[in-house]
Amino acid sequence: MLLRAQGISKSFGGNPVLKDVSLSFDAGQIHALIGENGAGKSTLMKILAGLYTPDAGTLELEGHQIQWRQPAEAQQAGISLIPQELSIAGHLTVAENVFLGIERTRWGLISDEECRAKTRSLTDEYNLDFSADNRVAHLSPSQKQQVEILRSLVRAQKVLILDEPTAYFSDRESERLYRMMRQVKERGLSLIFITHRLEELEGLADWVSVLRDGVCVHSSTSNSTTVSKILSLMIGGSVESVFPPKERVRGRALMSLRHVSLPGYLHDISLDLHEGEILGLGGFVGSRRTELAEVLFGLQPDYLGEIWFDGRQVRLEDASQALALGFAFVSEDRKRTGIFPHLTVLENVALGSLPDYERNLLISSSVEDRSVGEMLRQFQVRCKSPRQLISRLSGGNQQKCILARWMLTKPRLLILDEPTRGIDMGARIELYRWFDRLASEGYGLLLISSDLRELEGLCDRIAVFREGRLATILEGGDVTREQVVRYAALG
Amino acid sequence: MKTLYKFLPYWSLFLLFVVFALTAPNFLSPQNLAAILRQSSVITIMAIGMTFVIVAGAIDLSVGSLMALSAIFGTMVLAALSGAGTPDWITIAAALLVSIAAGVAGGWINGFTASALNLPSFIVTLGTLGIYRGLALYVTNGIPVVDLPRSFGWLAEGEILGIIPIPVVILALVAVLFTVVLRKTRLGRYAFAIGSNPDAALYSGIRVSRYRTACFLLLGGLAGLAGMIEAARLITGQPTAGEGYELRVIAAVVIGGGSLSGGEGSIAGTIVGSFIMGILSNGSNLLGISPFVQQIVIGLVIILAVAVDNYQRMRKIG
Repeated sequence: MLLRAQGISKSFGGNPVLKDVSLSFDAGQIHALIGENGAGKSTLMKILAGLYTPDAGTLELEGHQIQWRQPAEAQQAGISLIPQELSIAGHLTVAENVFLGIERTRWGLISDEECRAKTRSLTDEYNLDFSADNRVAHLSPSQKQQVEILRSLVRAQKVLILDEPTAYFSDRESERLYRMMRQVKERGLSLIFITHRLEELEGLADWVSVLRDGVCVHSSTSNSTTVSKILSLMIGGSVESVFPPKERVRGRALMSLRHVSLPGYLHDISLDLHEGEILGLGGFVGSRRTELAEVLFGLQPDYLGEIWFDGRQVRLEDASQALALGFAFVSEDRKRTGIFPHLTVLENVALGSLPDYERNLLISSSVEDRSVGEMLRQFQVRCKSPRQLISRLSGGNQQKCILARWMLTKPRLLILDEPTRGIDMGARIELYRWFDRLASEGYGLLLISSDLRELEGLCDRIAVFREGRLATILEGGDVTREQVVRYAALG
Repeated sequence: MKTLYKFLPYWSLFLLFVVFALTAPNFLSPQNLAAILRQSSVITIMAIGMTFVIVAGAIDLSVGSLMALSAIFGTMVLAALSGAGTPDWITIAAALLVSIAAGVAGGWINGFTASALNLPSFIVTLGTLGIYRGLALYVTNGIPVVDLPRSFGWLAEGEILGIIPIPVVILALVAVLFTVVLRKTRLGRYAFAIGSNPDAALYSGIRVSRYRTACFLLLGGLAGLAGMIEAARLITGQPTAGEGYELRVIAAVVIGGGSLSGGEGSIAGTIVGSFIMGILSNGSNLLGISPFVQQIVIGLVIILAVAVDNYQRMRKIG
């Protein structure tokens, strides 16, 4: 046993976040920690890495009781935490990042050669497809994660903690990272990682622990449990089914694309989206699905070809135009292009529909409160008050707020780009019910997702993209993940 | 504790007030209090406009130069029209409008250039800081505009009810109007949204460049107004007026809780920030503290205000 946490409890401002959690982590093992947002996973990891002090309980490293006074101590002892938001410096090279803060010096000057040589030997050892001299800004997300891992490795680690390392990755990107994690494990380190992707439990994790409401409800080897059992443990009850039944009636064509191209990205896309339909867009990263979504929302005004909406030809040159037509766009990066962190929940939700609340040029608080309040209730957004800052809400609740914002603009067409990314299972199921309900009410939904189960479970039809071209449109019995993968990979 | 931080600028103002009331002779006299308000009003009026720009995540370094340039246009019109037999109040009103319009135009140039060339406003206004100053000097040949009607001085030195200075009345009107604009209109709400997350604003269908430019426009108009009050003080249009004011204006916003990274700020906070600087310099004068020391103190206040603000943000958004 390498690291053991015994009876850990922690509260913030009177709210217990962890209650008497005991877990142990072995060397040469990958330990997956799962649970819904707010279950206490990140807090536990931060306690292990010395960022928080537990209120009660003890930590043991290699049989010795330990107590971190600051994160640096945990690092020196060999425990390091790689946060979800990576902290690497884009302008520096891989080698400079790896040795940042522990640069080898000679006569007071940084000895680049030594750092580069050491980094090079590491990239060779792990068969990484980038070099020590690459600028980190040019690397893909999973390569950046790999740089973070290298950085921890040169600090002679025993325990490596990764907080949702693959949350923003495509399957192919994730696979790269899994390979490296396995290699690190073989060198005898203990890896702990937080994830929302249940498929990662099979094949990658040796051990799985489930947290719910600050309590460890399950901990065992990963091959002794099933994904559905873990799912029910996570949400504390059995799930009938994750996806609602597809009983929607497809109406008339709402939007039609004819020979739409975006030079350098999209080539000759023609497809129809109907009222009452969820149309999926499938494909790998680089299939240019997001670019299509951006064209449709007026963010790529240089497109060619025709777009018809509601029987009229339209030309989409900026987002406010798309908004006026009744398009809504839930973008893939909630933090970067979704929420306004300094604004309250109320202000965030009202932002798309302010003209509706204006009386004599001034925003009427009472009208605004009523409309927003009604939407928050409908979406069951969990917040203390609408006047709370949105940044205080969990990812799932933030995403519901963004959907609520768009619903208030009275859209007819919803473009959803990775709408459930980084959101826990319970909130996901709620969102799925919403998507189904909206489609049943006659809205047209365009769903981009890298989660193949989600595409298969939700969509009536799936348009599969490959390198900017439409490979096929799957219908009926062909709406399966196997078919999506086949066409996405082979065209 | 949280509220203590939130209202820190207000507490500091109160504390300063009490300290000077107890130590500085004549500090509490109505004449002195009126003087503090009068002296602070030019900076405060512009700082109210700057609040919009900073809330929207931008900055305007050209405001001092723009103030001088607008007032040059205003006073030139005033000089040309006066003596033609038109009543003074009409010529003064016309000159005021010209100055405000010139300010609005200058603000528009700042905002439009930043959007059209996709440049940070810091860079654009660093450029116009020199351009507007150069223009003011060029059109006047460096010589102040004089021969203005004496009644023009009323704008700076006049009083109503025998004690309330006219600039303070103007400041109060501007403050009320722009508080409503910032808190109750689309422009205000969009300014916060744009400053908080410009990409999200774009993805929400907000015309980001248009609304950001509108903030520059407001500030420009207020700089035109402030420029005329400043000119009225000496009944002269000075092409060199307002040098270095940009930093005092920005400092007022920042001390009052505005965040240079955007998304935060309030009119009330900005006014308090400006008054803190005004009271500091007035009180120190009364106590005979050297103006050199005052500069040091104001510098420290700025650093302290931003440090507290940062600390607060780390706890809030984190």
